[in-house]
Amino acid sequence: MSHFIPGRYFALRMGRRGLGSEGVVTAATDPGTLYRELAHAHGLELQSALVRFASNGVAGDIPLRRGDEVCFKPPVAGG
Amino acid sequence: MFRIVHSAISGPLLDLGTSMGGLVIFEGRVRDVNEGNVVEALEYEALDDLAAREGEHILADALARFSVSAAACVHRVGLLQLGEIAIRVEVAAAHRRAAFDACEFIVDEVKRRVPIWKKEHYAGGATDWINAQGTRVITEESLYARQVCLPEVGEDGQRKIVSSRVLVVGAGGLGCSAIIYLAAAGVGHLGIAEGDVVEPSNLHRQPLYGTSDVGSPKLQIAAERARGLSPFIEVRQSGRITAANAEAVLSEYDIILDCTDNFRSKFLLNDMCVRLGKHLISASVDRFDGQLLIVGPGGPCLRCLWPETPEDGCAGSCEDDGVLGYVPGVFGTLQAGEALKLILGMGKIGVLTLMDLRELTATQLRVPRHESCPLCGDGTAAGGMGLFVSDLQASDLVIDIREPYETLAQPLKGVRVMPMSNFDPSDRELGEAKRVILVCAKGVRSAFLAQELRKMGHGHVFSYDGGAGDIQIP
Repeated sequence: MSHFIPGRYFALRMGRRGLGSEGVVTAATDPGTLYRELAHAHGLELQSALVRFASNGVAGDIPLRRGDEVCFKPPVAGG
Repeated sequence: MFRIVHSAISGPLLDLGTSMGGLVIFEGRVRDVNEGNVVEALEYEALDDLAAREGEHILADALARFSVSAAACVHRVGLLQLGEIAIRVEVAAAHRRAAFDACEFIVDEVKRRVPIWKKEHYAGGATDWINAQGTRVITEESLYARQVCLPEVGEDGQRKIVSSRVLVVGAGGLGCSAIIYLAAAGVGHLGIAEGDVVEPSNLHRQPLYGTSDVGSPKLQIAAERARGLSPFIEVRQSGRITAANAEAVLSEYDIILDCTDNFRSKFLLNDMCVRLGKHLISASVDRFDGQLLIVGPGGPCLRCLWPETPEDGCAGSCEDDGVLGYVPGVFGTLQAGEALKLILGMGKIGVLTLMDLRELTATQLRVPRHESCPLCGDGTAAGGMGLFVSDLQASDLVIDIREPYETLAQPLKGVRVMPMSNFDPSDRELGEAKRVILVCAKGVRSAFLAQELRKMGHGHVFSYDGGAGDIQIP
């Protein structure tokens, strides 16, 4: 089954597209799988083990439902 | 003759003989207007002894510089009404020109050098302290007036700010703006920890420093600038924070600002703050994005999100990827703001704020405390390989990693001693033991070192929970 998921990218290298967020249709049922799908599509290099997820404002790898807002966040260290 | 007097001034001050052809007298009186304000009275205050001594020096200087025979000055202190004499200077000389010049010199120098202040009483009841040169004297009330009048601050809140103890670790892009706003708000005990020197490429995002500071240690300059923002705060300086000194330095403060730029330091500060029960305000930036997490007792920590310290370089840095200077400036400012909110009892822990400054959007995520967090969880991290142990077995190799000055003061019996500063990860006994337990004073350094050793493949290394104070060796 496909879901419509608005995804927000935080500090992820979205290449020349400069994307901060987008809506996606996916069969993924968890944020990790969704990230791997999108990483493949966008050519993101950061491995999924380092990326953290949030669904609807709560951090964690929680099962996805239609319309959830998902946030992808890598570790960041710049200062 | 120079004197500070507390009553009305009257002349003459000099006893003139018949050899002096000129006598110049200057009298300064209280007038009714200063810089557009209607003045009703003036109140002078002086450090009497210091003022008298400096005044005598000025008269001696005048006698040495000008061809004059005698000079005297009297300055009055206390409350003076309009028209009353505040200062009288007399200079006697053979010729008038030298007498005029010396008199002017004395008046100028008294204003410049003698510690006397005046408080103007304006029509309507307001007052203001002015120093002798006409510049305003800075008081604590005047510095903080605009924040004290906020209902969220008030005099009680300002007292809390004045007695607060905040450490800023890193005086770079984040630290510069954090230091400015904390010092300016009057944080009474402000610590700065930094070990770098100023590089030209720092200046676009580190506005505490200027081009003339390149090559100088950041720590000293940042501390001077902070002191320049308020003479009422104490600014303490520490060098770079390391695993060996973190516990001692952080213990002196209530709130720690993580303004560092690498994962190793961020996770070290996170671990120390959790173990010591301190508040940590951690920020990081990446190009146009930034994040802010406040760690506090009972709340989640960085390791609830990333149990293992990520490798530096796995995500970008300001050096590698570039950054516009204002981006860390925004986040350092937010860190200072969150510190003030914690001090005022308005802080919130456990929320991760993400901001995208390119789109100018912000997202707040609630971070739940992770039960299997190796640091603040219940000690049963994935695979039963929790970092912390509190029960020792006879077969354990227990290593005391405290420094010699600590082990001398409080030695542990029946343990191996290998100070952290001199720790050898390739030690044979370490490699051969079934389980290795590291012990330090409070369990902070041992947790850090155990994690580092695990990264090197020593999965059998644990940290003793609680430290040397309550360890029972079987």
